[in-house]
Amino acid sequence: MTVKNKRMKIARVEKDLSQQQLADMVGVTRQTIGMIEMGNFNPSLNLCRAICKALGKTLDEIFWEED
Amino acid sequence: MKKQIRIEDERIREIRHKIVNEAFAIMFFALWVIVMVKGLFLHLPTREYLTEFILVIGISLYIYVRMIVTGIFGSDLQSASRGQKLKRILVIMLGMGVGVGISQAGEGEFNILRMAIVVITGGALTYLMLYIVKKINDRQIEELERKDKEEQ
Repeated sequence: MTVKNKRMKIARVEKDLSQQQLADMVGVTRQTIGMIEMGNFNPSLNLCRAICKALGKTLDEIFWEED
Repeated sequence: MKKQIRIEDERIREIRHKIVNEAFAIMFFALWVIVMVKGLFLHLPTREYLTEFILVIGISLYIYVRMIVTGIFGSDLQSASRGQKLKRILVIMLGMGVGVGISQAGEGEFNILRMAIVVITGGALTYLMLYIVKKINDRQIEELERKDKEEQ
């Protein structure tokens, strides 16, 4: 299985957070974080913003399309 | 680790909705099967399955009206050709005809006139509802445009 949202995973690893820890910070389940990183789930704008806040990044840096 | 303000896990919420929708679809399908079996195959009089019949018609009407009012059904018809609109109305009329046909099969006799009245009334009501919803939408758009112009 390939990770579609690599930037989110990289940002999470840079902060030394596991999927469970990030999920706890944001208020969702670990599976939800995993599915977002895999590209199997489209989060709402609210959830995207919560993830970006937790990782200290902007929406563009994590969720904008890669060229 | 600082805890953020909790938000609802929307994936879980979607799954919950999906489960409830599937359960409802199973129940609705089962009601239809009961009506078909009792009406068409066993030829029981309508009063024997009146409860299921009313539930099926009532639920269908509720879904139908709500979809029109919220613009899900019919919004695509606002810019559709006359042929497409007619096709949609004919499908609904056919559905009503089938419903009446099943209930009449249970009674043992087919009253063509009664079927025709129900089907035509259904078609006319559908057209009227779509027309009313379109007029309401147009008026809302005009109101918004007028407010925009006043603000400028």
